[in-house]
Amino acid sequence: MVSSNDPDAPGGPRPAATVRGGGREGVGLASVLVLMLALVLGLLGLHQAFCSSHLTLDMAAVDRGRAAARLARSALEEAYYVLSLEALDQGSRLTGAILKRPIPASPERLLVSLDELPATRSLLSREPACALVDGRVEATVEIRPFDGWADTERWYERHGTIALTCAVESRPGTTGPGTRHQIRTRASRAVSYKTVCLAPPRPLDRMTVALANPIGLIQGSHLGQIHPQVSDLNTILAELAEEIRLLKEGTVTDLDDKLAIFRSIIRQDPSGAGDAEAQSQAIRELKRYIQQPFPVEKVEPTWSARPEERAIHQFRWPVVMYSKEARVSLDDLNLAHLLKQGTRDFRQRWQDHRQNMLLLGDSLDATRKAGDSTRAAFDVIKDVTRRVKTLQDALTERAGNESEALVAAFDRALRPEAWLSAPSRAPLPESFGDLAGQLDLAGSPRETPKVTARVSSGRELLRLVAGEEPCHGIVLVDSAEPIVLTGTVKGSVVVVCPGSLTVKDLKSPGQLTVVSAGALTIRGKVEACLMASGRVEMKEAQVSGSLVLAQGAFPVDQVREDLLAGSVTAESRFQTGDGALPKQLKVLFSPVPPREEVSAHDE
Amino acid sequence: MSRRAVGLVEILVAMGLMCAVVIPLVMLIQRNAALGAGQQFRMLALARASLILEGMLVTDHRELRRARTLGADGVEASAHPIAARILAAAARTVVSSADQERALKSQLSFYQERVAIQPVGRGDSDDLLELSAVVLWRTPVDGSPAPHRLGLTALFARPDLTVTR
Repeated sequence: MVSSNDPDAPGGPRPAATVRGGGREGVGLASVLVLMLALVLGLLGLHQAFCSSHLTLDMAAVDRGRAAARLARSALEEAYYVLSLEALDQGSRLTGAILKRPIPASPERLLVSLDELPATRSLLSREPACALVDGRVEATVEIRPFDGWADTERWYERHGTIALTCAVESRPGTTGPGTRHQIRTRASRAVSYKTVCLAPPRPLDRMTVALANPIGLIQGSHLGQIHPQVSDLNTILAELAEEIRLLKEGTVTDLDDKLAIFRSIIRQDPSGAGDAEAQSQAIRELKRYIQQPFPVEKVEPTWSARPEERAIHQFRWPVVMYSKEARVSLDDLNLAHLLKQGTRDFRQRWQDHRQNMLLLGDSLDATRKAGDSTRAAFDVIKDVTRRVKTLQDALTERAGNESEALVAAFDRALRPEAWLSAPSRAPLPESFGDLAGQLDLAGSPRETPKVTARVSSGRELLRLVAGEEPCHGIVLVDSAEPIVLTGTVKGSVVVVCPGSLTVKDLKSPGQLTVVSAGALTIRGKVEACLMASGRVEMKEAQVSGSLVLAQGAFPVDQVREDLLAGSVTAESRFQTGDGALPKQLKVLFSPVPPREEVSAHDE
Repeated sequence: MSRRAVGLVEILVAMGLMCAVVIPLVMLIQRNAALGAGQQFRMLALARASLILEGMLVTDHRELRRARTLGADGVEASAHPIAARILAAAARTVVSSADQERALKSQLSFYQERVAIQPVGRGDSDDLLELSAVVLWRTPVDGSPAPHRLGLTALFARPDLTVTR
């Protein structure tokens, strides 16, 4: 049987390829299949090569993006470091921008170039992944002040936010893996800042001792022993001087009369005038003693504007008293202490003097007794006069209108609230009057923007301000328990303590300012500027710095003679200097950044 | 019938074609597999380095200053007080069973971590620190004598400079 498909058969189908010499011609089916398979495999291989190449490039780009983000963050850290160093320098561009007057309406901008960031530049050169093609690293600073005392002498006390942004950009390049992407990375941080003067405000910084309304220091029962119903020291001194003058005149007249009598007796009977001679001699010695100059011969009880004329008057109006001496003995300011010994038997001695003077000349013993009692009486009045004069000489008094210029400084120094927050620009209306001054010290931090740290215990306070490292700023002690501050305070710090506080044996190589609204006890050697509006107890303590006390430190109804003793020595390093800005003005950054973010964009 | 069979030349051509395609393809697959394995090792190295660096960046600056290292090469992470603590904390987080611990130890046996903390502030002040975390590793199939190296570096400024200086 012959198949019709046989090509050799007559009439059979012709093969697709030409057959010559009996062999096959053209490409066989297997080759076609293999070719097609190879084509498919080749395409798959190319696809995989393409994908893996892209994957490699993309991963390199991711690495570059991460490196750029790290670089931006590092640049941010170094820019923050550079800004921190500038904040420590009062003459830097940052401080100048922060303290610009008037407060700018729009944020101030500063640029930190890569040249100012050597560590970032070094990092850039060492990190291969950070190699930027036509790249750019740039830091910008934006200063946004929130508040400030624009129109006062404290214009430099401000707070606000510094926004720091570091941008890293890299254009696409032609070499290296992953360089076909453009990279833009931005790291930003917002830091709150405060500019605070960590020292007593001017002019209190120049005063060794300053007292606001020290009524209790002057008035008291001790004065009543000298002159009942009179509390004006100047009047007391003037009256004592006048009394002494009259007494001297009267006594000298009496003595002259007696001397004339004895001279007559001696003249009449020179042989038997031994006793008269002795009495005359005693009277002459007494007369010489009485005629000696007294500490206060005359006092003009008038007001004087000249600071060299010291006067302490009755305080029916605000008064401030201060001393700028290099060393002030508190014993000299404590009138109760001064007069304690002098006035104890003041009246008794004068009574004895008057009684014995009646017997003058009766006998040698009576004359000598009268002489002794007269000397004792004059001694006590000289002593009292000298002590009162000592107090007057120790202090300069500014009363009434003269004190108003200092009231703001005292208010600023002694009110804890003034150290914690800026006061409102406008006074509260009368309808809010009962709310004025009712700031809760333990309230929201928004109410205390000047505070740099809060502590809730004495141990925490010591760890912060008397630790190994210095600490600068205003520290609020937010505790009801009694606090003891001792040790070495290395930084410039203001400790605001509304409660009971004891400072003892305290060294301050930096500058310590203590603002106490509660009971303040001072013990041992203390280097600090102490400002208290509450009760103060200082026994034999030695303060190097200054002491600023308010009326509350001298309650009239309390015996003060044993509570204020010791000395205060001025420390020039604690003074704020003569420049427009106080030496102790510091720009402080909050160590806790409120916001930080890193954003990256690959294109 | 014998004339319809596949010829020797045809077979040779087909084999040649297959070789021309398959051999590069196999090489590509091998390369990709090696690349993938390498990337896996690298990813873990990156994670380790990031872990150490990020851990140091959230550490108190004072503690970092105390833990400064000598020389840019740094020290073994396990011998550094801060890095060792970070790695131990991370291990505690990841490992919840003995099997996982064994697997992690086996995986980490290829790695060696080093850390360096260097002062780079003005005048070599330690108020600005350069933190480096370097991971060295070898893969089981590595033929190269030198280990792979991945290093991450970041700067860290003292946050409380203005309140302490």
